[in-house]
Amino acid sequence: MIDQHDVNSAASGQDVVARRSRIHFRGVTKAFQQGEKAVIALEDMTFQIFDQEFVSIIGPSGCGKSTTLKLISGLEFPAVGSVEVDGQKVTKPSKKVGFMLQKDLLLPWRSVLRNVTIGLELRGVPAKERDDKARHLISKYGLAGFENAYPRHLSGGMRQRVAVARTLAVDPEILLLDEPLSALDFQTKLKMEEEFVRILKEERITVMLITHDIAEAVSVSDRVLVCSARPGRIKAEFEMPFSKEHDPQMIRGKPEFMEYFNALWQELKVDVTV
Amino acid sequence: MIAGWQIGITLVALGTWEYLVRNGVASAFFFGQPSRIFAYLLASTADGYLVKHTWVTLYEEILGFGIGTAVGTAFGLALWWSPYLSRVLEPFAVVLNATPKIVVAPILVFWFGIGLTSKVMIAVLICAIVAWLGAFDGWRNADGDQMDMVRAIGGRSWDVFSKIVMPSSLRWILATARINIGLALIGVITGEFLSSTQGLGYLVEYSSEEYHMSQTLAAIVVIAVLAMVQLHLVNWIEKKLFAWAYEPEHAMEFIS
Repeated sequence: MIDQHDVNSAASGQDVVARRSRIHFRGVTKAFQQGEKAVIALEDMTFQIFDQEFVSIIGPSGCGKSTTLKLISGLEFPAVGSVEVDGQKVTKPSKKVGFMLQKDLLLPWRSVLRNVTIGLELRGVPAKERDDKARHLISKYGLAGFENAYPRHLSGGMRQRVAVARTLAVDPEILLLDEPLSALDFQTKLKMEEEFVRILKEERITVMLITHDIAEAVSVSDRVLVCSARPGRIKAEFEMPFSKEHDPQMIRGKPEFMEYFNALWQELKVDVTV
Repeated sequence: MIAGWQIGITLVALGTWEYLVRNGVASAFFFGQPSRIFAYLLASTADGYLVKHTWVTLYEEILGFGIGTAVGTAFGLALWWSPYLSRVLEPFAVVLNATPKIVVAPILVFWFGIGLTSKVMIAVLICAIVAWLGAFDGWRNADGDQMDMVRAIGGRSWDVFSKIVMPSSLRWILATARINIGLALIGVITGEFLSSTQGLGYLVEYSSEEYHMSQTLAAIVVIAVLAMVQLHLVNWIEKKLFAWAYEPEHAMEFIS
């Protein structure tokens, strides 16, 4: 039985009473200027993400998913409505929030070590401490020996792992992921999904994942939100029953997996135009 | 083998030239003669005459290049802080870029006189304009997502500038420097043509006025050598500093 919630109901999200709200979008509307026209990216976008949840947002291209990320990061501000992190309106980038994009954003002129330490540098952490922490993370994510390599020496999967190390080096409590694995080949992507989920659950990070890959969304999330076509708003919400498993590969193998995949696709495809 | 051909072609060309002059087919008066050019180079290097003039030109060029590039680059990068001012200045930049900067050389000679200063100023002006445009272009190509990342991770504007804008512009700036050093040499020599008592440009001008073709060509040879050495130097620096920008190397070679 597919567990779909009425998006506007108070029962949205697991154990609402017990969990605290980490991200809250209330009736957010945001527009951009594109050449001569004003484009409304999001209209009346409302959703909440609770502590330690792993929530995916899927939606057609151009539905404003990346805008959502910028709003939570404090790089942009809503025209109408409010974006709150931990109950506070977002006025500037928060130290609690990290993000990763499809591009690894590694600085090509810096070594792997120095790429990982950049966040720590910006927070004034002394050199020895930040190098030690970086080395620890580099080793933890399977890149030992490559501290002095440069991004050009690394494969796509390795580069994304450096990006993970960089992002987690500053201990974010909330992580925003904008299709971080979609530039990788399928096999690397599957492996990275496993690693990612394991790491994020271990560190108990609250995650918002933006993805085009429905299978990915189903296999890693606690909840999946479906975004409508532009102007974007959340039009459907599904609770995933598998998330206790923590193993995306196993989840993909379960019979219910396809039911959820299809339900999501039915909801999504209405808005996909070719 | 290719080198063999190259050396061969050079020797044949020089040999033919020498031969034609010696046998009266071509006039040394109009075309100069390789053996005389060579002799002149030896003699005037030995007595220091050539060295003195080469040094003057080099000094003017390096000083002008240095100051001009530094000032232009600083100004170009500083515009990152004001997108508004950048938009205001953009059409001026386009006009300046299109105009051959050398046209102001006579004005600068008029203002700064016959000595070294006017030549340095020509190089400064040319290099400053080109460097400004190079730096301006350089930061416009900096990666917006990298800048967002730095801001989101806790950086302020100065951090974005020093950690993203400057390093990513550096490559453009160096490419511009390669052009600039050539332009500086042209500027300085042109200034010497117009009015001077020293330098390689002066030698070319003076020797040709006195109809000493071989001496003129000798000075030109020195200028060519200078230009080549500079070019190689800039290329070498670029390779050293910017290894990170080139083709991915194999990860396996790296394991330390």
